[in-house]
Amino acid sequence: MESDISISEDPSLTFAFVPSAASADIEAAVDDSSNRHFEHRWPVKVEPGT
Amino acid sequence: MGRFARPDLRRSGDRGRRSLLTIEAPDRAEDAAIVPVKITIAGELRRDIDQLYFVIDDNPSPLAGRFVFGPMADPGEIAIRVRVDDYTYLHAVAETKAGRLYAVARFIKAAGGCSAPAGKDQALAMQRLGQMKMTMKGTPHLGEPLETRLLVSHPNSSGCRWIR
Repeated sequence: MESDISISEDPSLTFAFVPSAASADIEAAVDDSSNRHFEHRWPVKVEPGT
Repeated sequence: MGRFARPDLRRSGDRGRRSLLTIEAPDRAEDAAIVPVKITIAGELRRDIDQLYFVIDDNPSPLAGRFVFGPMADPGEIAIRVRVDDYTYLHAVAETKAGRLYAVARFIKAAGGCSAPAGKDQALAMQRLGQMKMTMKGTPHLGEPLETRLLVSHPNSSGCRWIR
């Protein structure tokens, strides 16, 4: 999902996604209006047997 | 974006379409600098949506959010926290892959959210700048929507500023 948002201090975004692989990463990349860039990646492991 | 010029724009309340697109927000915000807003997309719109726009009419920068849904996204719900500067209407506008628009509006009583002081020490806020936390609600299962919350440490002091 891609978004442009103008939100509160310490922004929070709640959304949903549908895992389509047994193991993958979810990545957040954030650019602010001062041209700073932040990104982070988290592993998503689907429960065995599902 | 005070008025919509598109003749094909459909109000989500028209012809029984009320439940396709809804905005949940407090009638009167406790803190105008962090107003929780949830947008729910249902029915065929959940399947067909491509983008979602969120507009706060009387904020200095009214377009508060644009969300583009990729193939792995489940667009059923989006929740954010926003600054609200004055008593105003909130609008959610959904655009389908075919270019059809659906809209819903809700009035909110809130004031001063754009001029509210930062909630914490600015030096500390800058120290934590860009730190992120991702929380998944439950265990991931293949093919099943997973609610996820992203928190970003950022003072976001320009959240309501005019950008020219």
